[in-house]
Amino acid sequence: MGKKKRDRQELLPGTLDMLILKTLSRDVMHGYGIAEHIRQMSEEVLHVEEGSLYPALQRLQLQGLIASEWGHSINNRRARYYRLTRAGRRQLGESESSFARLIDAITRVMRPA
Amino acid sequence: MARLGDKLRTTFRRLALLMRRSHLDDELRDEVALHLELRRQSLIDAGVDPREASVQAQRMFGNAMAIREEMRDMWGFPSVDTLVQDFRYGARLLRRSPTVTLASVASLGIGIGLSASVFSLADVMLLQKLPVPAPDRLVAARWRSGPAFPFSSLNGNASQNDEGLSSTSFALHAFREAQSRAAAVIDLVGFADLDRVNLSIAGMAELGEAQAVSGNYFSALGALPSAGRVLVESDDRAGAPPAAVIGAALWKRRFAGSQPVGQPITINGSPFTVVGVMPASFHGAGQVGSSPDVYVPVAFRSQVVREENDETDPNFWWILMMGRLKPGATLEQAQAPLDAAVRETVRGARPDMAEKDLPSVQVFSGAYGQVEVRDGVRDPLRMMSLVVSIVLLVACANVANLLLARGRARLRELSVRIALGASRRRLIRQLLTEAVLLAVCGSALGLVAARWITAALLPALNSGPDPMAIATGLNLRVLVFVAVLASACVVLVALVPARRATNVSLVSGLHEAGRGPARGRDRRGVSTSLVIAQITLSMVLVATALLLVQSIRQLQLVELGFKPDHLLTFKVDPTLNGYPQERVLTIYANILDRLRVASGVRGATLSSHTLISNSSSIRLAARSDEPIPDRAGAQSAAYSSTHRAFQLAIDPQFFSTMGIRVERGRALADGDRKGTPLVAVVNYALARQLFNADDVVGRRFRTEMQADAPVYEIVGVCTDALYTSVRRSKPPTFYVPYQQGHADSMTFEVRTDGEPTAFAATARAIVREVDPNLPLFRVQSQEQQIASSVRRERVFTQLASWLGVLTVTISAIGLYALLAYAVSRRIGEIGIRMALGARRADVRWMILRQSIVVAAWGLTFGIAASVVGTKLLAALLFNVAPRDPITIGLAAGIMLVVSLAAGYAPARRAASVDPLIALRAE
Repeated sequence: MGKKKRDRQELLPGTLDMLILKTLSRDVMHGYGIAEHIRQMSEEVLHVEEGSLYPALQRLQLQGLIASEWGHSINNRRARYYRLTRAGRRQLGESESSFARLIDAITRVMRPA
Repeated sequence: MARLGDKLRTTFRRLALLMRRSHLDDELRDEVALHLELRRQSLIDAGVDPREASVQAQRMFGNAMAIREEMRDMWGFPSVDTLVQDFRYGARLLRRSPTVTLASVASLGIGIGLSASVFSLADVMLLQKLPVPAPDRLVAARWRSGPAFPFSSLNGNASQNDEGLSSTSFALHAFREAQSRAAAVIDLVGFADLDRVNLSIAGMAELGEAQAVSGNYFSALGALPSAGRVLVESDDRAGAPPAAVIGAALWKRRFAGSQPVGQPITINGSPFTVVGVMPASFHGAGQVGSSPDVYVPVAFRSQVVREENDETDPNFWWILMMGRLKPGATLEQAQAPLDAAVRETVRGARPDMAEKDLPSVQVFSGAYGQVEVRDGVRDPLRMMSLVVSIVLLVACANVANLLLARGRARLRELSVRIALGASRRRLIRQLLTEAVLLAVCGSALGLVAARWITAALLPALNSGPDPMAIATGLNLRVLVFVAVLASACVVLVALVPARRATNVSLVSGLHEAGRGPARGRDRRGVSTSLVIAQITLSMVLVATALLLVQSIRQLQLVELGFKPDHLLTFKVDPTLNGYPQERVLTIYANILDRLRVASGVRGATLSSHTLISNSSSIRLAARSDEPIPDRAGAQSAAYSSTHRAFQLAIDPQFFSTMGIRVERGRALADGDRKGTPLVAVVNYALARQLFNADDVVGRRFRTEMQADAPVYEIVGVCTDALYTSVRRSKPPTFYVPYQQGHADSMTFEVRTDGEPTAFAATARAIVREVDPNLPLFRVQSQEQQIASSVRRERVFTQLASWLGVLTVTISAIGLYALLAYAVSRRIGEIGIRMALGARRADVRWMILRQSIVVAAWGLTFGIAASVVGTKLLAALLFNVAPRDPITIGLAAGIMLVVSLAAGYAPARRAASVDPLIALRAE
């Protein structure tokens, strides 16, 4: 298990939800699409253990931040599509700004060195 | 508020999920399948080999099982969901090993049932407060004095020890004085049991319990009637219209729930009017749980109780005191005025008493009622509580051990499940669920068992001649407490194997569960100590049971001095109806005459007391030529103990009917009646005590310490016989003709040809012919009377024997399980030993030795605990020393044999191991 993590970055705790919300803010997507989008956008640096995406999706759904419905994928397979709700969009805004503050702070600490 | 709203919404969404949860699993599967398929496709597109691609897709996805588990936890209410699943799985496992399950549930159930019923009894009898408002503000009083009696007559209980006397009964005079003196700090009430009275309602008579109460009794206690009104001060005056309040039980029994207020009721022949009914929740100021049938004002006591004592006589002590503190007053403030009032009244009534001998009053909390009987049940209840706690402990230890063993047996299963991705928390919860399932079944069984155990135990505590009527519904509070306690024990011990099983590293868990040497000595430490504890506790119970059985055998071997077989006894009391003495004597003579001519009767007689009923008349007996000591003198206490004799007033045919031989002089005769010289027959014990001789016919003795006291002439000497109890020795006794004294209630003894109780109907008919208003009571055979006098011992013996067998069985199962498990783990080792030349006998001995070591520890502790513990039994034992070494040795022997028996099957199994098969399994 250990070896495939070698040149990949572990996610900061709590950031997976934010990444999912951000991903869904552009488009309606199914689970695989979300995983793939995160992987590609981060240029394969951010690696989400793909399975752990689904519990996160379900949790967000329960919190009312995203919603889902069944539809058909491009090659006509049944798939569940997730979309952002109003509450989700609001939450994304909050997460983004607090994340930005966090990164700012960390960068300021790191820069003088 | 916002958070609450969020929470609500989340809950609502969960509910929505819950509605469609049957689809959720399928949907999730579809979703995961799609994901894997798309990933595989993209890998293939990137040039990965198609076969390699599926594996890699799986790997990238991660542990699908764990993820599903995690998501299921979010559906609906995860705990409920997995709980149901766990319960189902647990129930299936429990069903798969029915013996173990049954043993655990049964031992838990019996442990819980027993403890709940005994603790319920203890709760009602010792712990519950009176059901009145603010019971903690109630105060009760008792007095203590030196060895000299401050009264001439006492109606109530007194306890006497070396230091002096103590009682809760006071003279009416002292009560009134105390009431007025302490009025500023306490609202003092007086009450007294009038014991059995003849209640007649609408022409139908029955016996009931009555209480005389002061006018402020109900108002001070804060008790309200359920109908009509309570008694008030104006009822408690001579010349007031006679008013009575009845209890709920009598109301239901005799008025069939109809309106009783204003109805007439006749109590011992005196007319009263019912003015009110007390609710069933009111228990008076006495024992919590018991309730009198009827309450009358103190001023009307003499109308109900006809006796020689004048209740206003300051030397007749009969009334109990209790009071409610005034707001702001304290217990200590009540002490001084009560003490002063009582001392002063006693000083006035008994100028001869030395100042140091005057009684001093002590006040104590009245919250638990003013009861003297409580002291009698305290020790048996404590002992029972102890015994049942032992059983509960052994039961819990057993269940713990079974769970431990099962946890080990399932080590491999659990390791496999962890390897497959089950979370530790989930596994622990699963194991706990099984424990809870056991505990719940055990508690349910306990609830059922507790009901009949309570019914069976009550007579053991309540074996006096007039058992307290105690309402002992099973106490739900206590039952829940015990069940929770036992469940907590079980669940706690279940945690040990659960944590242990889930704490192992995967590799060693998988490895060790299969085979391996007996490395886990430390792991078995808990089980071994549990089994040792079980053997220890079982041995204490076995020793207890053996001691009690021996004691009962001793009691049965007691030589009574009279023939108890074919003897029917019953009591009547014409004096309750207020008949004059002549009429009472005539009634007795008529009943005796008719009984003697009835068919199937070989003899009939009567006596003032029932033999072996713990009731007696104890008198002073001194030679008439002996100087009378100074009454107030220092030797007076010693004198009364060396000059004590038991008196029994009898009909002349008593000796022939009961089989007591008059060996010198003559028996009493019908000619000895009022007006003729006082005569008595003494037994040898009294003859020797008085005159140090056997042949004492013609000599004289007196029964009072006055020069002019009447003197009895001894006309005969008879053999010694028991009087009050089979536990006592045959006391010095003198028999006097009942016609020469004051006759009140009498016990008839009828020697029958056939079964004595079959004669009861004829006896009833005969008494009714003589006087239709005369109820018979305590109708039973003499043998039943004797049996009931040792009923407490008998019930304890049965209880202890049963529990002894039970706990020994449980412990044997525990030991067996321990050894069987050890053998199953050591099969490989045993195979090697045998391959290397160990003989089967050596292997058998190896296992048996382990059983003996465990047993030896248990027995060592058991002997120590028995020596300490059985001391509590002393009060119940008869002619057996509580630390009887032979009995304790026997108990140890029994436990050793049982331990060897429990060890034999595993030892045999170990010896029958085939080294080839055992090694191949390696």
